[in-house]
Amino acid sequence: MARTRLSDLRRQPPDQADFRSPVHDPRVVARVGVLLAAAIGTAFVTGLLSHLHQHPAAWVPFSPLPVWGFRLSQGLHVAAGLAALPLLLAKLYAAYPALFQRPRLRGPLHLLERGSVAVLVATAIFQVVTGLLNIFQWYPWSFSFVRVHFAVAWVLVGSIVIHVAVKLPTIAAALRRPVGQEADGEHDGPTRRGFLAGIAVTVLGLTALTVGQTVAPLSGLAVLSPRQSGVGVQGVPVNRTARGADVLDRAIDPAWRLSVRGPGGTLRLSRADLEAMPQVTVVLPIACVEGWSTTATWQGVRVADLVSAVSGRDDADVRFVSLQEAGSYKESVLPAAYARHPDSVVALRLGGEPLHPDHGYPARLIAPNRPGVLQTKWLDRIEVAQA
Amino acid sequence: MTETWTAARLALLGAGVALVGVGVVVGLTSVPQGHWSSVLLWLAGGVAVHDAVLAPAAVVLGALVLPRVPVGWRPALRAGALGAVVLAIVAVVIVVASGMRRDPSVVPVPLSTSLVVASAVLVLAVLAGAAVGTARARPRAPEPADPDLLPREDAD
Repeated sequence: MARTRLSDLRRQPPDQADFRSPVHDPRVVARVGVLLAAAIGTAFVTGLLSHLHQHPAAWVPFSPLPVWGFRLSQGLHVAAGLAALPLLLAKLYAAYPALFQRPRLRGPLHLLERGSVAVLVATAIFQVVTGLLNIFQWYPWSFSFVRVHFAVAWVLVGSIVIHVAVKLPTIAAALRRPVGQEADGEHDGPTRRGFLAGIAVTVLGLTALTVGQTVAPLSGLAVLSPRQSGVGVQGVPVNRTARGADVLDRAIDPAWRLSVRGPGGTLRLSRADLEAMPQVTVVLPIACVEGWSTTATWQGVRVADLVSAVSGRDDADVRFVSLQEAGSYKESVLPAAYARHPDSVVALRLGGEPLHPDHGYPARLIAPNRPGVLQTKWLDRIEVAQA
Repeated sequence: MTETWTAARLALLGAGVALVGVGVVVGLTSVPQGHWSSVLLWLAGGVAVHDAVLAPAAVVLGALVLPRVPVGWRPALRAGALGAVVLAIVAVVIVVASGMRRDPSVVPVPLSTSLVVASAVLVLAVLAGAAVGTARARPRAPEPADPDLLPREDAD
């Protein structure tokens, strides 16, 4: 390894051949690329699932079972996105000399190829960075995170597929060759293997220090994640507070009534009325789109009991409307398959205590296999569709 | 690009173009026009910060430092630099997020604890990696002779 001094560094852009580290090798780039594609592919599929939960399509009937389905898929989404951070940095570092290839442009096809790589790099960095900032609730931009993260995801995955199509012969040849061969320098193989091992350790380390936001036994280790599973008022993290949603006064007003409207008319129920109905206890996870989740014990009235109290049919969707007047998640629709499931509950108590206002007092929805943003808090009214 | 374009490669290319098309249509129809400049700024900004700052810094750091340390330390230090960049990025986000949180369950661990613990994990991992690398870089002892050729103790 030749020693380099600061004075050796030239002022003009370097040449691809100036990068002499054995790490800048197609065999390394291809192997890191496979891992990065796996992480981004996982994030894409689980992201689509989350999107479909929030924008239901008739051709994807979600089921309330398994109750932990969304918890698993969204936990994977955020874990894969975080793992993509070191993988992306390593991939770009290994492939960085290609940025300085000469001739810069060999023709229209080469222009298209380099253009697709530019789109790939831009969208990959964009998705990893905006996703990271979103889980920490930091929005230093002026666009809707959810819409843009969803649209850019398609461009990213599409440009990965284009990149693989263009590079397929190179990738196949690189993956077939061992990272160290007879023809290489003495330290080349160990250097490349060491680089790959270092990436693996970095990914595992970052995962170990963050995944405790959804894996409860690792909660205490999660020093780099925005949440720790089980940490928050009543043992559950809070996303939007009652004050933040501007509902606190109306939520704790003794005059609050839950109106339940269905084919049989409208009921207006106080908290005491709800407490007088048959109570059930369910153990269900609350799983946020931001990747954290916690299992909790909820008590309240079955949604199915409220639906039948207003003569609703069990194949009717049910709309839950919050006291919250603004915001994307002030109401949600519970599909009929969920509404008739015995674990879908209008919860009054959490962990044996009355719901804290930040968890949706006086009453909130909790149902299995469903994003936290759709577990509507501070219920104002429930409407059973006329099926 | 000189290799033949098989039907499978062309199909892959077509699928990729279609996926990009879906993203462009979804973006153009769901993101209000007033937000486009902010999206483009963040798309270009990430590339600029990486290509003009992070990657050159990593290359220069590697070229200056790695030849001056023992061979066994190089992989661990290279990985340590990767870990340090990741930690620095996450640390910036954690520090900002802890300053503007709306609920104590966001960033529940004190900054001093989380950043010290994460840095300590990073340093220990680099030291462990250097120990492994140093052990592997040591010249191998000569291979022991083939046991079949040694005199056997139970031989008559």
